[in-house]
Amino acid sequence: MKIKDIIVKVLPPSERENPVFRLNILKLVLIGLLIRFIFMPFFLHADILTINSGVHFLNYHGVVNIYEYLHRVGDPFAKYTSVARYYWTYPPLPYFLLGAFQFFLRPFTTGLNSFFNSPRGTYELYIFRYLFFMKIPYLVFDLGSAFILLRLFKDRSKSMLAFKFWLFNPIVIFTSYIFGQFDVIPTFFLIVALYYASRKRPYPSALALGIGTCLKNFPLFLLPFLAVIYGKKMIDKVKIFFIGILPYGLSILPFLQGKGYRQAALLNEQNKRFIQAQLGIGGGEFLILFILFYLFIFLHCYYNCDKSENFDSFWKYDTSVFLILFPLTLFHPQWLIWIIPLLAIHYTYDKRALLAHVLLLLFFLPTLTYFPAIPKLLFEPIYPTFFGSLPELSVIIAKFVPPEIFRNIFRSAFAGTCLWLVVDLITSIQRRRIERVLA
Amino acid sequence: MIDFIQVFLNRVTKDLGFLIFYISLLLCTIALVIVVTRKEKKLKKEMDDKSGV
Repeated sequence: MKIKDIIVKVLPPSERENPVFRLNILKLVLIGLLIRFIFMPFFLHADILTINSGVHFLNYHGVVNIYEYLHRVGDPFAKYTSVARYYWTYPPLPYFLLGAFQFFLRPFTTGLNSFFNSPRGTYELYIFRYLFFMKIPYLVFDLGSAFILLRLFKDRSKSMLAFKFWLFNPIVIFTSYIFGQFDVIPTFFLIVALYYASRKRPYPSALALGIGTCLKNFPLFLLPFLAVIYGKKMIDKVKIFFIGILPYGLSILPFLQGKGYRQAALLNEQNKRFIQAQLGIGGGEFLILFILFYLFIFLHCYYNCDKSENFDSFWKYDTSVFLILFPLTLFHPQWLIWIIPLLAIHYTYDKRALLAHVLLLLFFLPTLTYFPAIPKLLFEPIYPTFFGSLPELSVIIAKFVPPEIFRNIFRSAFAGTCLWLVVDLITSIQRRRIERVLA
Repeated sequence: MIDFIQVFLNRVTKDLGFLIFYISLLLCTIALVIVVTRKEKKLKKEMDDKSGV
């Protein structure tokens, strides 16, 4: 089979023979790639170095159980000023997946091992080369996501809209090629899950969510909705849920015994963030807001989901879950990519939603000042002494207004926009149900 | 500003192998975008002419 045939296969079957469509897609992909290439070598966040310095233990030192190894050894380079730190707080699968990419890209990244064992940081001679090749794995899943979105809809105009929404989305570009986090990989599996759900195939969809959960935990939140919406009988619901949870269970099983895994990956700060928004009820007791709203949406889904239009219900409830998760969590900027495929679907069905999506982005940007390394560290590879000496954004803001007030005004506006979107989505499900009952 | 550009260029040119690869990659992508756009326009025009639009 020729490469051309393989490329054509990823296009929607109805458009494979249309040469103008094929060229249009190729043009969009090339422009998307060009934008990504421009950002790839010049922007850095500590996370990409931390991820890759963790993974390098597999390739250069043969460490299979990173959790126990780091638990035993600690961070041998903490005393240095290097931006890379040795810790691994992610599930096991990304360690091996990104490790495989790092292995195959070894010929292009000579000296990477000594870089991770030195305090050079952004002063490193080959920093641009390293940053470029460290972000190559993201390109594979990023383009894969775009093509799956292209095939998600049967309607050509909707497909194109979702494809462009993803390909030119600033959040996708920021997360993967500026910030350098690997959230695009689990998001790819979320899109695969959405694709199968749209084709009424809940088991492959649950499996995709399960693989996504092996990379980052968030797809797990969507699994109960898949089970409830697509499972006709209780036994089907249990089966769907079990298939989804199986890959995650299998992937963590060999590490579960160790103290290192439990401390680093299960009970880490990021996982605790989901329960930190609380409402005191006196006597030191409190309600955990994310659980409260999650259960509200889940029970709404259980009693109101539309079994005949199950994909419509599925993506709407999924979007709602993320829209309550973000305002109720001190979320990391890269988490926002999780919702992008769902917003792409939302936008294709409802063009007026674009304003709310733009507002989400605008209100989200000022909240980034919470993270001291943004944007200071992001630009550091370009001119380390200059950008390294710049004051943090929050210090500049503090001259005019207390930075926490500034941030929280935008955080609240972001939460308000999320709330409106959730209400809009839930009421649209409710409306459909009433229409169906009346019909 | 001149100092800024100077430092940046100084850093980039130190890894000449990557610089050549990177610039070639960008130029090739731009060239491909131009070629594909022209081909697409030509094809579209041909199809429009055929259908009598």
